[in-house]
Amino acid sequence: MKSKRTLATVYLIAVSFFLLFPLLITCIFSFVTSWTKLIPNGWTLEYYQQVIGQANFWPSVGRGLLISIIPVFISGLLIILTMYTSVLYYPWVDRVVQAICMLPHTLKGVILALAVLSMYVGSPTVLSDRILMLTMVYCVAILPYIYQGIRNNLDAINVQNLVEAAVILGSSKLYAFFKVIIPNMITGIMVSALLGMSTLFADFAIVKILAGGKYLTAQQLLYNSRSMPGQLVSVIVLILFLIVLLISAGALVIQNIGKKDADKAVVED
Amino acid sequence: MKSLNIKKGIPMIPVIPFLVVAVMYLILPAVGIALQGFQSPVTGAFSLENFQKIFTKIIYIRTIQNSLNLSFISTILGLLISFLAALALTSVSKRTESTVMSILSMSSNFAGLPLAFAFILVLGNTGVVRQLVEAANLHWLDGFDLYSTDGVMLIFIYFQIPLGTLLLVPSFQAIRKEWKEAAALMHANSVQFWLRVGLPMLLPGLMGTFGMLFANALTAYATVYVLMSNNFPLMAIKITTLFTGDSVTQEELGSALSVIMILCMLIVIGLCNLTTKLFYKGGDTK
Amino acid sequence: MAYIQFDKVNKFFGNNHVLKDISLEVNQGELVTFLGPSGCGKSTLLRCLAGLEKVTSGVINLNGVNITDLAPQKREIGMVFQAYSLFPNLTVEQNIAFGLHILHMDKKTIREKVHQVLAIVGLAEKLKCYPRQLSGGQQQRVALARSIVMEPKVLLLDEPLSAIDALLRRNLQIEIRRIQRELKITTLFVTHDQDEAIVMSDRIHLFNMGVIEQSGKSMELYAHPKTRFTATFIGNYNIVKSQEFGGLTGDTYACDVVAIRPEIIEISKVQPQGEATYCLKGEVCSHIPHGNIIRYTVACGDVLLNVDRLFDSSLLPQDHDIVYLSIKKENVLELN
Repeated sequence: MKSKRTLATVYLIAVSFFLLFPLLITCIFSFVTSWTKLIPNGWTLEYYQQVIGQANFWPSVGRGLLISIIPVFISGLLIILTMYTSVLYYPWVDRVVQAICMLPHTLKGVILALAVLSMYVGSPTVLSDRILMLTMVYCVAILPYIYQGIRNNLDAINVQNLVEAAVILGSSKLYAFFKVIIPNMITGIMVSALLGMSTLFADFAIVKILAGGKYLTAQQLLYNSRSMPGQLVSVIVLILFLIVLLISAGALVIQNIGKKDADKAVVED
Repeated sequence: MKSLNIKKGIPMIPVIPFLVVAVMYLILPAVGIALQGFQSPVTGAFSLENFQKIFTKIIYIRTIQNSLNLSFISTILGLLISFLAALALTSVSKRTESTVMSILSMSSNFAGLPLAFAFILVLGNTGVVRQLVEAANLHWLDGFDLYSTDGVMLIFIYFQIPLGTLLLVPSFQAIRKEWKEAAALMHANSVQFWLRVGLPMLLPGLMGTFGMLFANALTAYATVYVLMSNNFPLMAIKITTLFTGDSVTQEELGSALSVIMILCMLIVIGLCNLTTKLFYKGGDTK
Repeated sequence: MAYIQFDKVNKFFGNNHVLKDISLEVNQGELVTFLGPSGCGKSTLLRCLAGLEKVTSGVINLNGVNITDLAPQKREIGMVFQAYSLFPNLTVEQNIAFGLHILHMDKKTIREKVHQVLAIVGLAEKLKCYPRQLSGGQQQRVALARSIVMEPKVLLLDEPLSAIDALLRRNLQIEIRRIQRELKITTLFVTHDQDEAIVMSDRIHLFNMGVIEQSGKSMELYAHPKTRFTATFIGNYNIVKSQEFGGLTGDTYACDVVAIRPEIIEISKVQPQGEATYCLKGEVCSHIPHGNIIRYTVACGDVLLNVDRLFDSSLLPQDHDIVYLSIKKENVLELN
């Protein structure tokens, strides 16, 4: 048994090392003047200063965040609305919505973006607006996550029961929706919203295809900096990675808050 | 009666915005691409010439082969490493387990552009590690070129590992300690347990993860683009250039290639599900 | 006139005829139980009364008013569900006040009523807690409080204790009964547990596949089942094919089976005497202690009979003993 544990631990250490190695090197490199021997030649913060001081940098991070948050809100709203119908009136609607929300899994990556582009780019109406296309494609791309988050939540609280209880106590269906269903959906959407946001923030392919130079997000900035000194690139890489990490960590924190409360429940009467 | 129908219809109103968005930005474009693949670029009529072109011109055949090759190998290797990692996680201390899980979660966020750049910084032509290795007169990296299929493969495997492991861990947690104990009492050793009980119970999780990893690899764009620009025969890259190329765009051809790419994904995922249905007994095949 | 009247109520789910011409009455202040196995329709009838299901045909009257087509919000009926239906995003206080807010009561009155009803169920200190911080039993008590604070005309309880463990269940049964008697609320209780029904009810209606098999006071159903189904469901009757039993006793019976309660069979090692009594000879196959009684399984020929005997002596029959069973003829129920 003990040798099994050691073997397993060694293997995991090896895998962890492999995974952390590029990150570590990048991190170290961002502080380095030059690195030609085993130990870096010198340390400096100049590259951080350069990046943070760059006029373009924070606005593009801001744009990246903005274009990640807005689709989350829109998708969330769209799905919450469908839940009104499927929970209170026609349960079969949920199956249709679920099927549709699973489609983006097959069309992931560049295909959906290209399809939307080819369809609307020539349109004389507002539909040809690049940023609109970008926003809507992002909305569709995260539908699976948002739907699943909300659905899991509603299933966990047995929403049909709650609606019946509310109705018996005298509430109309609309009142029940706002006072009971929505508050419980919001907690479910938080986790998947943050995860969806981190996915969108990290996207490069879709924004390049649809918005090209028109809407410079952080990822695009990174790409444009590829010929700059390595240290500069590593600073940007690190900062962007940290942002994505923070967003995902936020999701984890929210998830665990919910778990802690459930564990506190008294066991005996 | 009309008033009755309207009353029945009113609760459906909240579904409309969702349907509008889904139709406009999901269903219509998807159908559009599918149809366009069967459209002749010359006459606009229904034709199979796009597919003919793809399957006769060497460049496209190579693209498809390359994509499939890269995706399959990186998925299989990634799955193998993930499998062992998830297995290892069941035998280590709680502290090691949570540390490793945190590292995995963190690495799963390290994908796309930042990842590609990090690899370039480390193993690129002027990469830190490469320079160190050369300075020390070691020849470890002599045959390795990051800007080649090998390099892409390495990065693919890198981002498959956290994803694969995180997806497999729940399946492993479902393998109950009691089963192992019961097997041990019946004089089965570890290998026998895994062959006859463990692996079969893991099958749905394995197959599902395989499908997801494969889809992930097949549709990867950003990492490859950064490394190789448009010069790499990969389906995702080729399709994009066909649609947004500097020269004449060949949307019909691009659509046809997209259809093929989606078909590949569906076939692989379908086979995974089929394998699960055929060989998995006892429990939900969710 | 009875407080609640069901008149020829039928309910179809698609082609499934779940309730077949159900007619029954409930008097004010009674606690009546709908008892029966899963799928017999008891919950469906309750939900029809609540307005959560629409009857296919038939009439439901409450306090003289026909409520068959009335919306559930307007029926002034309270209901406690099997699955805990407390609103997870609201505190105990907010849960209980939910219905009162809808009636636009002023804050002071609401607070008073909430405190009052929480005291009745004994959870005054949990006012500000969330449902996830309460145990199952506590949640059901809050659900009960939430229903009775509305001062409903009828209280419906749909298997409220099924998900609660045995010891706690007994306490809650007594609690519910006490509260119901104190507040004099007409209550309908649904359960599949016959012990629970017998403990709690004034009257029981036993359901079987959409029809009422038998109704009556609990002791009545226990001691005088009218059909085989009732005897199988309630109590621990010995059910023997009348032909086989006739083979043992020499009598013939004009029915399918006979039913005999295990506790009225006397078992002894000595051949007894008695008029109007069957005396059967048999061999003890096994005996299992059940606390204060011992349950014997005695083989009389091919017929196995369970006999319950008080654990009141040390000279009790053992396995493989030859014993004599005496059964008064009047205790042999002839059933179909």
